[in-house]
Amino acid sequence: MPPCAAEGRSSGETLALDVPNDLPALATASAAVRQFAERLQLGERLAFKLELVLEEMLMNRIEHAFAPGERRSTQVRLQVQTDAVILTFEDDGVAFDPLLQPPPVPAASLQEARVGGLGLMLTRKGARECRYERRDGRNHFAVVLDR
Amino acid sequence: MNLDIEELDGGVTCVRLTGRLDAPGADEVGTRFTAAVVARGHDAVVDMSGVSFIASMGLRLLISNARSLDLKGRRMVVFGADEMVQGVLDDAAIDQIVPVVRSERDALAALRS
Repeated sequence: MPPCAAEGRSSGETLALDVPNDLPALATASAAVRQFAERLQLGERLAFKLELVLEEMLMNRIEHAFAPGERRSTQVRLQVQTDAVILTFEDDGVAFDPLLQPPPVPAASLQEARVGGLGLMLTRKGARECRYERRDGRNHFAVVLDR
Repeated sequence: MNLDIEELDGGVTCVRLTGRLDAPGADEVGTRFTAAVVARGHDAVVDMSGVSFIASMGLRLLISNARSLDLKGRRMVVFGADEMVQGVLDDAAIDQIVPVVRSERDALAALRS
Protein backbone atom coordinates (compact mmCIF):
# COMPACT_ATOMS: atom_id res chain seq x y z
CA MET A 1 0.00 0.00 0.00
CA PRO A 2 1.51 3.40 -0.97
CA PRO A 3 2.42 5.69 1.94
CA CYS A 4 -0.23 8.25 1.02
CA ALA A 5 -3.07 5.75 1.09
CA ALA A 6 -5.52 5.21 3.90
CA GLU A 7 -4.73 2.01 5.72
CA GLY A 8 -7.57 0.02 7.07
CA ARG A 9 -8.96 -3.26 8.21
CA SER A 10 -12.43 -4.66 8.19
CA SER A 11 -13.69 -7.05 10.82
CA GLY A 12 -17.27 -8.25 10.66
CA GLU A 13 -19.38 -5.15 10.88
CA THR A 14 -16.63 -2.69 11.75
CA LEU A 15 -14.24 -0.88 9.43
CA ALA A 16 -11.20 0.91 10.85
CA LEU A 17 -9.08 3.28 8.77
CA ASP A 18 -6.00 5.36 9.45
CA VAL A 19 -6.25 8.23 6.96
CA PRO A 20 -3.32 10.60 6.32
CA ASN A 21 -4.29 14.25 5.77
CA ASP A 22 -4.13 14.41 1.98
CA LEU A 23 -6.52 14.05 -0.95
CA PRO A 24 -5.24 10.70 -2.31
CA ALA A 25 -5.74 9.14 1.12
CA LEU A 26 -9.23 10.64 1.31
CA ALA A 27 -10.08 9.07 -2.06
CA THR A 28 -8.80 5.69 -0.87
CA ALA A 29 -10.80 5.95 2.35
CA SER A 30 -13.97 6.82 0.41
CA ALA A 31 -13.52 3.75 -1.78
CA ALA A 32 -13.00 1.58 1.30
CA VAL A 33 -16.21 2.88 2.88
CA ARG A 34 -18.10 2.38 -0.39
CA GLN A 35 -16.93 -1.23 -0.70
CA PHE A 36 -17.69 -1.91 2.96
CA ALA A 37 -21.21 -0.49 2.56
CA GLU A 38 -21.76 -2.61 -0.55
CA ARG A 39 -20.55 -5.75 1.19
CA LEU A 40 -22.93 -5.18 4.08
CA GLN A 41 -25.73 -4.15 1.70
CA LEU A 42 -26.39 -0.88 3.51
CA GLY A 43 -28.13 0.60 0.48
CA GLU A 44 -27.16 3.35 -1.95
CA ARG A 45 -28.67 6.19 0.04
CA LEU A 46 -26.90 5.33 3.29
CA ALA A 47 -23.64 4.61 1.44
CA PHE A 48 -23.87 8.05 -0.18
CA LYS A 49 -24.45 9.71 3.19
CA LEU A 50 -21.57 7.81 4.79
CA GLU A 51 -19.20 8.92 2.04
CA LEU A 52 -20.46 12.48 2.36
CA VAL A 53 -19.85 12.61 6.12
CA LEU A 54 -16.46 10.95 5.68
CA GLU A 55 -15.38 13.46 3.05
CA GLU A 56 -16.60 16.52 4.94
CA MET A 57 -14.98 15.57 8.22
CA LEU A 58 -11.68 14.51 6.63
CA MET A 59 -11.55 17.69 4.52
CA ASN A 60 -12.16 19.69 7.67
CA ARG A 61 -9.19 17.96 9.30
CA ILE A 62 -7.01 18.43 6.18
CA GLU A 63 -7.78 22.15 6.04
CA HIS A 64 -7.85 23.09 9.70
CA ALA A 65 -6.51 20.49 12.12
CA PHE A 66 -2.81 20.53 11.40
CA ALA A 67 -0.05 22.94 10.42
CA PRO A 68 0.53 23.32 6.66
CA GLY A 69 2.62 20.46 5.34
CA GLU A 70 2.39 18.50 8.56
CA ARG A 71 1.97 14.75 7.92
CA ARG A 72 -0.67 13.47 10.34
CA SER A 73 -3.65 11.21 10.18
CA THR A 74 -7.21 10.74 11.36
CA GLN A 75 -8.46 7.47 12.77
CA VAL A 76 -11.84 6.61 11.31
CA ARG A 77 -14.10 3.86 12.57
CA LEU A 78 -17.34 2.76 10.95
CA GLN A 79 -19.55 0.52 13.07
CA VAL A 80 -22.73 -1.06 11.76
CA GLN A 81 -25.40 -1.82 14.31
CA THR A 82 -28.90 -3.22 13.95
CA ASP A 83 -30.63 0.10 13.52
CA ALA A 84 -27.78 2.57 13.10
CA VAL A 85 -24.37 3.19 11.60
CA ILE A 86 -21.79 5.12 13.63
CA LEU A 87 -18.88 6.97 12.04
CA THR A 88 -16.23 8.16 14.48
CA PHE A 89 -13.24 10.40 13.81
CA GLU A 90 -10.28 10.78 16.13
CA ASP A 91 -7.21 12.97 15.71
CA ASP A 92 -4.65 14.87 17.74
CA GLY A 93 -4.99 18.11 15.79
CA VAL A 94 -6.19 21.50 16.97
CA ALA A 95 -9.19 21.25 19.29
CA PHE A 96 -12.30 21.76 17.20
CA ASP A 97 -15.91 21.18 18.20
CA PRO A 98 -18.00 21.04 15.00
CA LEU A 99 -21.16 21.37 17.06
CA LEU A 100 -20.22 24.88 18.21
CA GLN A 101 -19.95 26.20 14.66
CA PRO A 102 -22.84 28.41 13.53
CA PRO A 103 -24.79 27.20 10.49
CA PRO A 104 -24.01 29.00 7.22
CA VAL A 105 -26.14 32.08 6.64
CA PRO A 106 -28.29 31.85 3.50
CA ALA A 107 -26.89 34.25 0.93
CA ALA A 108 -29.08 37.02 -0.43
CA SER A 109 -27.14 37.04 -3.68
CA LEU A 110 -24.44 35.15 -5.54
CA GLN A 111 -21.87 37.83 -4.74
CA GLU A 112 -22.62 37.53 -1.04
CA ALA A 113 -22.50 33.74 -1.05
CA ARG A 114 -19.91 32.19 1.23
CA VAL A 115 -19.02 28.53 0.95
CA GLY A 116 -17.59 28.07 4.45
CA GLY A 117 -19.61 25.90 6.78
CA LEU A 118 -21.38 23.90 4.09
CA GLY A 119 -19.47 20.74 4.95
CA LEU A 120 -20.44 20.74 8.61
CA MET A 121 -24.03 21.57 7.72
CA LEU A 122 -24.17 18.63 5.28
CA THR A 123 -22.63 16.36 7.92
CA ARG A 124 -25.28 17.21 10.50
CA LYS A 125 -28.17 17.17 8.04
CA GLY A 126 -30.11 13.95 8.46
CA ALA A 127 -27.89 12.61 11.25
CA ARG A 128 -29.70 11.09 14.20
CA GLU A 129 -27.03 12.37 16.55
CA CYS A 130 -23.60 14.03 16.55
CA ARG A 131 -21.25 13.96 19.55
CA TYR A 132 -17.98 15.76 20.19
CA GLU A 133 -15.49 15.32 22.98
CA ARG A 134 -11.95 16.59 23.56
CA ARG A 135 -10.19 13.88 25.55
CA ASP A 136 -6.51 13.26 26.28
CA GLY A 137 -5.49 15.96 23.81
CA ARG A 138 -7.50 14.39 21.00
CA ASN A 139 -10.67 15.28 19.10
CA HIS A 140 -13.37 12.61 19.18
CA PHE A 141 -16.34 13.20 16.89
CA ALA A 142 -19.12 10.70 16.23
CA VAL A 143 -21.98 10.84 13.74
CA VAL A 144 -24.89 8.42 14.17
CA LEU A 145 -27.01 7.69 11.10
CA ASP A 146 -30.21 5.66 10.91
CA ARG A 147 -30.04 2.47 8.86
CA MET B 1 -13.67 13.13 -12.80
CA ASN B 2 -14.05 14.01 -16.47
CA LEU B 3 -15.08 17.27 -18.04
CA ASP B 4 -16.25 17.82 -21.61
CA ILE B 5 -16.86 21.25 -23.08
CA GLU B 6 -19.32 21.97 -25.84
CA GLU B 7 -20.30 25.25 -27.45
CA LEU B 8 -24.06 25.36 -27.93
CA ASP B 9 -26.05 27.58 -30.26
CA GLY B 10 -26.48 31.10 -28.99
CA GLY B 11 -22.99 31.39 -27.52
CA VAL B 12 -23.64 29.18 -24.51
CA THR B 13 -20.88 27.06 -23.02
CA CYS B 14 -21.98 23.61 -21.89
CA VAL B 15 -19.79 21.76 -19.41
CA ARG B 16 -20.59 18.07 -18.99
CA LEU B 17 -19.19 16.56 -15.81
CA THR B 18 -18.77 12.84 -15.29
CA GLY B 19 -17.66 11.09 -12.12
CA ARG B 20 -17.34 12.15 -8.51
CA LEU B 21 -17.46 15.87 -7.71
CA ASP B 22 -15.80 15.36 -4.35
CA ALA B 23 -12.63 17.07 -3.10
CA PRO B 24 -10.24 15.00 -5.26
CA GLY B 25 -12.57 15.37 -8.26
CA ALA B 26 -13.00 19.13 -7.82
CA ASP B 27 -9.24 19.47 -7.41
CA GLU B 28 -8.70 17.49 -10.60
CA VAL B 29 -11.00 19.51 -12.85
CA GLY B 30 -11.07 22.88 -11.08
CA THR B 31 -8.61 24.72 -13.30
CA ARG B 32 -10.09 23.35 -16.53
CA PHE B 33 -13.62 24.11 -15.32
CA THR B 34 -12.72 27.74 -14.62
CA ALA B 35 -10.94 28.03 -17.97
CA ALA B 36 -13.99 26.62 -19.74
CA VAL B 37 -16.56 28.70 -17.95
CA VAL B 38 -15.08 31.94 -16.63
CA ALA B 39 -12.27 32.59 -19.10
CA ARG B 40 -14.62 32.24 -22.07
CA GLY B 41 -17.05 34.64 -20.47
CA HIS B 42 -20.19 33.16 -22.03
CA ASP B 43 -23.39 32.11 -20.33
CA ALA B 44 -22.89 28.52 -19.19
CA VAL B 45 -24.93 25.42 -18.44
CA VAL B 46 -23.46 22.60 -16.36
CA ASP B 47 -24.64 19.06 -17.06
CA MET B 48 -24.57 17.07 -13.82
CA SER B 49 -26.27 13.94 -15.17
CA GLY B 50 -22.98 12.03 -15.13
CA VAL B 51 -22.09 13.06 -11.57
CA SER B 52 -22.49 10.17 -9.13
CA PHE B 53 -21.43 11.99 -5.95
CA ILE B 54 -20.99 15.56 -4.74
CA ALA B 55 -19.64 17.10 -1.54
CA SER B 56 -18.98 20.65 -0.34
CA MET B 57 -15.79 21.07 -2.39
CA GLY B 58 -17.84 20.34 -5.50
CA LEU B 59 -20.43 22.88 -4.38
CA ARG B 60 -17.62 25.36 -3.80
CA LEU B 61 -16.42 24.85 -7.38
CA LEU B 62 -19.90 25.56 -8.78
CA ILE B 63 -20.52 28.59 -6.56
CA SER B 64 -17.12 30.23 -7.07
CA ASN B 65 -17.32 29.89 -10.86
CA ALA B 66 -20.92 31.10 -10.97
CA ARG B 67 -19.85 34.12 -8.93
CA SER B 68 -16.93 34.90 -11.23
CA LEU B 69 -19.22 34.59 -14.24
CA ASP B 70 -21.75 36.86 -12.58
CA LEU B 71 -19.06 39.53 -12.23
CA LYS B 72 -18.78 39.42 -16.03
CA GLY B 73 -22.52 39.86 -16.40
CA ARG B 74 -23.02 36.22 -17.42
CA ARG B 75 -25.02 33.43 -15.82
CA MET B 76 -24.59 29.76 -14.98
CA VAL B 77 -27.39 27.20 -14.74
CA VAL B 78 -26.97 23.67 -13.38
CA PHE B 79 -29.09 20.79 -14.68
CA GLY B 80 -29.59 17.04 -14.75
CA ALA B 81 -28.54 16.03 -11.23
CA ASP B 82 -29.68 12.59 -10.11
CA GLU B 83 -31.78 12.18 -6.99
CA MET B 84 -28.99 11.87 -4.43
CA VAL B 85 -26.81 14.62 -5.93
CA GLN B 86 -29.92 16.81 -6.14
CA GLY B 87 -30.51 16.10 -2.45
CA VAL B 88 -27.12 17.63 -1.59
CA LEU B 89 -27.82 20.65 -3.82
CA ASP B 90 -31.16 21.06 -2.04
CA ASP B 91 -29.69 20.69 1.46
CA ALA B 92 -27.12 23.38 0.62
CA ALA B 93 -29.87 25.58 -0.91
CA ILE B 94 -27.73 26.13 -3.98
CA ASP B 95 -30.79 26.98 -6.03
CA GLN B 96 -31.15 30.19 -4.02
CA ILE B 97 -28.07 31.59 -5.76
CA VAL B 98 -27.52 29.40 -8.84
CA PRO B 99 -30.50 28.16 -10.88
CA VAL B 100 -30.85 24.35 -10.70
CA VAL B 101 -33.21 22.73 -13.20
CA ARG B 102 -33.97 19.25 -14.51
CA SER B 103 -33.04 19.26 -18.18
CA GLU B 104 -30.76 20.95 -20.70
CA ARG B 105 -33.83 22.45 -22.35
CA ASP B 106 -34.91 23.94 -19.01
CA ALA B 107 -31.39 25.26 -18.46
CA LEU B 108 -31.32 27.04 -21.81
CA ALA B 109 -34.79 28.44 -21.14
CA ALA B 110 -33.61 29.74 -17.77
CA LEU B 111 -30.76 31.59 -19.46
CA ARG B 112 -33.22 33.25 -21.81
CA SER B 113 -35.62 34.32 -19.07
